[in-house]
Amino acid sequence: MSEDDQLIAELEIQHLAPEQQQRVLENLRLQIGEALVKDFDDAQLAEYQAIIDDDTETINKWLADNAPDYKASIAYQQLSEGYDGQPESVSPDKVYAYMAWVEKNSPGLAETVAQVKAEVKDNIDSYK
Amino acid sequence: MSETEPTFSPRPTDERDELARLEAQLAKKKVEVNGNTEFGKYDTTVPNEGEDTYQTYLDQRPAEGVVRDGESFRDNGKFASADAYAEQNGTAEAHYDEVNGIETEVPSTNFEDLSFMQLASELAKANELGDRAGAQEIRAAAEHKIMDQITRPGYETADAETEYADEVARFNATADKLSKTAPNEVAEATTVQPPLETESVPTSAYDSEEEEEAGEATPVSPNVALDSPINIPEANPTSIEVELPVFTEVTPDANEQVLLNGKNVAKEGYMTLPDGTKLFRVTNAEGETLWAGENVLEVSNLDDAEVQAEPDNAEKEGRFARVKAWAAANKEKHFDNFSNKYMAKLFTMYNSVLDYRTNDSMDSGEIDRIRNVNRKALIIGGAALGVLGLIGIGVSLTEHAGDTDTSSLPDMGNGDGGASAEGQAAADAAAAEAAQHTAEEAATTQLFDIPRGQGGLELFRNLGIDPSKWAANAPNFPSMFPNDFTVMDGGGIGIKHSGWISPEAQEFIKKLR
Repeated sequence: MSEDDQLIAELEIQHLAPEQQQRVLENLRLQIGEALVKDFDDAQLAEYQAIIDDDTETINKWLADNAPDYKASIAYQQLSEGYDGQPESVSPDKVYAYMAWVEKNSPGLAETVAQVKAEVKDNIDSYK
Repeated sequence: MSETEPTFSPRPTDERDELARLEAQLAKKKVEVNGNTEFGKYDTTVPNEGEDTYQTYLDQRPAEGVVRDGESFRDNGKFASADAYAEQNGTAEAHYDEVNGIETEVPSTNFEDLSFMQLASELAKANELGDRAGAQEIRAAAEHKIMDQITRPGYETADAETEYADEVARFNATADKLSKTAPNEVAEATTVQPPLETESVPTSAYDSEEEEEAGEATPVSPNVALDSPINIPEANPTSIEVELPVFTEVTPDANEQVLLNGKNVAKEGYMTLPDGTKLFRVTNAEGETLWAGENVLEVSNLDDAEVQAEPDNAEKEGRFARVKAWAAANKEKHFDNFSNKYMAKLFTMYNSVLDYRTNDSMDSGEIDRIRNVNRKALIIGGAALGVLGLIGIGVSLTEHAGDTDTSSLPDMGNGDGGASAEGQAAADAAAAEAAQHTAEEAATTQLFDIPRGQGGLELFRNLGIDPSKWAANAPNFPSMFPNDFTVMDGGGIGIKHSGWISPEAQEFIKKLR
C-alpha cells in the first residue's frame, strides 16, 4: 500500500474525491513539516535547504559524516535502482539524504507526526 | 290581397347527401365532445391567489408536505427530508408549470466553476449529444481557465503561447478519450465492489496529482492494496461507465506473490484495470479474499544476488521484499518532490498548499517568501512520512543489506584502504553486533503485525514490557493513536484493527521497554 493510500485510510477520507484527498494529504505534509521545523535552528535549516536545493557538496558531506555506508542500506539500493545518472534526473543520494536528514534531526518524529495526524483528522472539513 | 303559395323546389340530390353527411359528423362530434367533457378533458384549474406555480404553492404552505414513503405517500405535516422537498420542489414544480403553460428558466451550468476533468466530461457529453453550442461554451470555459492559470501573477513560463496550446490540446484529448470510453451513457456515481461488470471513472481524477498525463484518468488508484470495496467518491456526481476487465484465474505459484501485511501470499488471479494496472486476488490468513494493487512482489524478478544471498533467511527475504514493495509504491512520489513538473504545478495551481498563510494584501515578494517556506515544510513533511513508512514495515532507512557484498562499493570512510588485522577483527565484531541488533529489532517489529483478536496487554507481554505499563499508558492511547487504539464497549482499551500498528505507535511503545 502506498503512503498516500495508507494515510487516506488512517484519516478516513476514502469518501472524498481524489483532488480533495490530495488536498488533505498535502496539508498534512505541510503541517508535519511546520511542526518539525520548529525544532530546527538556522544552521540546520540552511543545511537542509542546501540538500533539497541539490547542493551536491553539502549532500556528499552530510552523507559521509552521518551515513558513511548508506550505499549498503536496503532503502538506498531500492531508491537508486533505475537511476540513469543523467544530469536532469533526481539523484537517489539526494532523495536518501532528504529523508535521512529528517530522521537524524527529528528525535520526536513519530510523536509529532501522530499528533499532527490527529489534528488534521479532527479538522478534515476545513481542508475540503 | 291574395296569398300566394310558396314555391318549393326540391333540393338537388347531392346537396341532400351533403347535409346528411354533415349532420352525421355533427352528431359524432357531439358524442366525442360530450364524452371528453364527462371525463374532464376540458376542465381548467384556476390557481389560488398568489399560487401561480407549484413553488409559490409550496411557499404558502411551508408546513405541508406529501412525501414518498416506500410504495405509498404520506403527509406528515412537513417534508421528511431535503431530498423529499427537492423531489417535489423540482420535478413536480416543473410539471405543474408546464401544465399551466408557465415558462420556467432552465438553470444553466456555470462551467467556470467546474474542474478541468469535469469540463472534459461535459464536453464529451456535449459532443455525444451533438450539442455544438454547448461544446463551444465548454471549450471557451476551459480555455479561459487555462489562460487564467498561465497568466497568473508570479507564474513564469518560457513560452506561454506554446504552453497554452499544449494545455488546450491536452484538454481536448481528454474529452476525446472520455467520449471514446463512454459512447452513450452517463451514470450516477456509485460504490461498487470488484469484480462487477461495469466500473465508474471518477471524472475529477484529471485534477489529481497522479494524473499528470492527458487522458490517463483511472477508476481506482493502482497503488492500493485493496482489502475494502472500491469506493467511488460521493463528491463526484458525474462519472462515466466503462467496462471492467474480466477476472482471470492463475495457478498459485511461489514465484508470483503479493506482499500482504509483511507476508508473501500467492496470487490466485487478477483483473486488469483500464489503465493497465493489475489488481491481484489473494487470500489472507483469516481466509478473507482481498485485492492487492501495486505492491505486487514477483520474486522471480528479484535480483539473483538478493535471492541467493540468504535463501534460508525468511526474515531477511521478507525485509528485502517489504522495502522493494515500499519503493515500488512510494519511490516515485519522493522523487517527484524534486521534479520541476510537480513544483511548477504547485506554484501555478490556484489556491495550492503553497499559498497557506498568504493573502491578497501581501506583495508578490512576501508571497514568494511564504511559498518557499511552505515548500520546505512540505518537503520535510514528505520526508518524515517516508521515514515512518519504512519504520512501519519494520525497516529503518539506514538498515543494511546485511550479507550483501559491499566490496564493490566506494570507500566513504577513513580512506586509508589498508585495514590492520585488529581493525578488521573489530570491524567484523561490530558488523556481527549490528547484524544481531538488526535481527532483534526486526523480530520485535514483527510483533506489531497484530493477529486478529489480539489485545494490547498481550502485545505488551510479547514485547517483554511490564503489564503495569499497559495499565498506565493504555488510557492515553486512543487519543494519542486514534487509528490504532479504541475505547471498547466495556470501557477497556483495545487494538482497533488487525495488521500493522502505525509507525508512530510502534516507536512510542518500543520506548516503554
